[in-house]
Amino acid sequence: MHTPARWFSVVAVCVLACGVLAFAPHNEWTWSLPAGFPEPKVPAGNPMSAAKVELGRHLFYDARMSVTGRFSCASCHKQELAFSDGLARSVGATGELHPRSSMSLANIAYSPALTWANPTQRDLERQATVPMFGEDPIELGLSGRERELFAIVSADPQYRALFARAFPGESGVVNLSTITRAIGAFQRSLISGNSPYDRYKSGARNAISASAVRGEALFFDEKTECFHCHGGFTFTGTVDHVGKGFPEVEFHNTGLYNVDGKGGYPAPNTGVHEVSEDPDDMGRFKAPTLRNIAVTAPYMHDGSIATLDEVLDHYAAGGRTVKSGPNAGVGAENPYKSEFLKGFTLTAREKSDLIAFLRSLTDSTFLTDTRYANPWPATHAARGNAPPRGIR
Amino acid sequence: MTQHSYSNSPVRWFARAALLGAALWTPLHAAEAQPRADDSQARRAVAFNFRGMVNDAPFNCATTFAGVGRSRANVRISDFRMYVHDVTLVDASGARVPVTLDVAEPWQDGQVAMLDFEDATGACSNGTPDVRHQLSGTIPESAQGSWQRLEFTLGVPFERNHGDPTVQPSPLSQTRLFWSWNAGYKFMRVDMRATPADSATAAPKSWVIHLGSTGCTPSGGASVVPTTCANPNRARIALDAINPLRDTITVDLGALLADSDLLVNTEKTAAGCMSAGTDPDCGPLFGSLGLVHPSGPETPAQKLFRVQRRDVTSGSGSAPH
Repeated sequence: MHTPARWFSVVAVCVLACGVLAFAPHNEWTWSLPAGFPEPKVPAGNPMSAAKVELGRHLFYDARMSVTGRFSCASCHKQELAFSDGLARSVGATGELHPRSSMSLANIAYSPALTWANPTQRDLERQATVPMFGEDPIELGLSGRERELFAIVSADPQYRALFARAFPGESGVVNLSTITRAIGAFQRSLISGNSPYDRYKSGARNAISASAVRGEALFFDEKTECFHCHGGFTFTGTVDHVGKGFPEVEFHNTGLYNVDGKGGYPAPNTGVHEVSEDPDDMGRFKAPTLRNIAVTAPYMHDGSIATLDEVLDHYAAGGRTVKSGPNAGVGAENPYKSEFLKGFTLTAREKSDLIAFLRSLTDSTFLTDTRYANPWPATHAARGNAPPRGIR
Repeated sequence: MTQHSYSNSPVRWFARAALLGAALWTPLHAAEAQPRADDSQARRAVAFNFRGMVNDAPFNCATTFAGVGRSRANVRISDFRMYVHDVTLVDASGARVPVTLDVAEPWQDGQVAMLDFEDATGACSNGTPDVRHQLSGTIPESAQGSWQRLEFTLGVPFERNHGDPTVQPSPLSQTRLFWSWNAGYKFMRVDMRATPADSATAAPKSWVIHLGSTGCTPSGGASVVPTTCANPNRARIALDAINPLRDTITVDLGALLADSDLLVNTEKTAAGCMSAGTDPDCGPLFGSLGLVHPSGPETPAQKLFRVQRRDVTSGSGSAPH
């Protein structure tokens, strides 16, 4: 199928772009993992391959994957923001305001529970059907439009090649399974572990400032309890990987709200409770990864805290007090609050040290890595620059 | 890149895709379909006919129906579909005869059937042009049909409801019925816009019915699908005094919504009823589906389905059967 010249050019491109993957054929995959990162778990039905990741990248960035033809996964998951979007609450293809804030996709391969507070969302392939077809809220707006989507993808000559290479055993068929598997594979490839703090832990003692070193000590101290929910190499308690034995899935109420004096969070963002309808799940949300946290503001599930400085104020107070308005209430008195939200006091210097530590978790190589960037030419319809069109 | 790695024509490529789809289809059915009681036994075809209605008027996607719900609102309806399974006939002696649903692509896969009253015209622009007003299946030839009751379940069986939507065959491949945030499907979908009868200028209010299982959580950390749902919300429907092979089953949204107020939506809840136990707007609706709801009646009784008898001799009254 490949002429030697063609194959050589593929390899040459890959040497430039793929690092250690250079000599892996497109139907194979070799993880290129930072020091201390275990191998991610991969679903049996969707083994990784370089070709599948490449297809998934094209789909992830394809604005034709939406009802307007101008909106893609990447619209709410921007690489330069660690695949979050910088908004307090995301806005979907049709302009609908999402109840929640876009989450970073960094190291999502290690997360056995997806999105903010939904214990039923366990694998990336099925989870993709929420933004694609969900209607409350509308994200990509593809509900009822799957045939149009398959037709657009099937008609693109570039996709014909990409699907054939990614799914050779299935004749490159375009369907919901191959589309979601490819997007899942691309998302699993989004590994971030090359921050200054990682280099510091690997022995580069000057990789982070003295302030950040002091902040590290505070972070891992029982005084602040930060690490209880944001521990481990992913800086979140919800984690799984090869050899772990069983996944850990954690949701916590951090006392952000207490609208009724009985622990209530403002609807519809009642956390796991929204899905489980169990009163004890009120306000329980997943602790997001702290990797790249400096570039993923604003914070919390609803983007209701603008800065890391104010986030620390919230935790120092053992919960947030909203003084007026419909969400008024004393979060610190939320009866469902995590036991680790006990409050603490920080000097001004300690606070800036903690923030320096959090900033040392920004992996600038991840934010600029060309393997994760938009692969489509600037003038291609997949960029969404064309006059409004797409799947109607 | 495209030339060297893929040389087939688009036509061949589509054909291969179609062949693969067909190849994948069969084993899925084999695995999922209800086993036939006895393949050596002769079977006879049965079909049950349904008719979408809004009070006294036949349903369609173009009409603005007047007098719907407690506030007698004007209503335009933009979707009207549902899933049904576990169909059983009960004969005069009380013997129960399970109906094996046909494989009738795209409406039935041998276990689950879709009833689809919208036709993608008018307000139903997000729908599908084809409609389905019938359940088709087989019963043993030996069953002696003097029937007193037809039963079926409105909803999707548990294992199928939580099956992987990216690979399930039709009718569970229709994304309009996906309910992925709850790891399942909408059992019934009715989308409406309501306006007050006495105002020609009022902005329409959305009122939708998304019926499905809620409170679904995995029981263990390693589980990838829900293992329990606190509120399954599958409605078992029993229609008595029916000649099921001759009578039509009316699916009347007017009756379903008689106790609901389509001009009101409780603040900070879904528009209409998306099955949340915490949404008071679901109470009367669930009552009319025969489902228990915290805000609903104590003794719910379904009103959505009723038998419309067809007297073949005189056109009025009901024939004994």
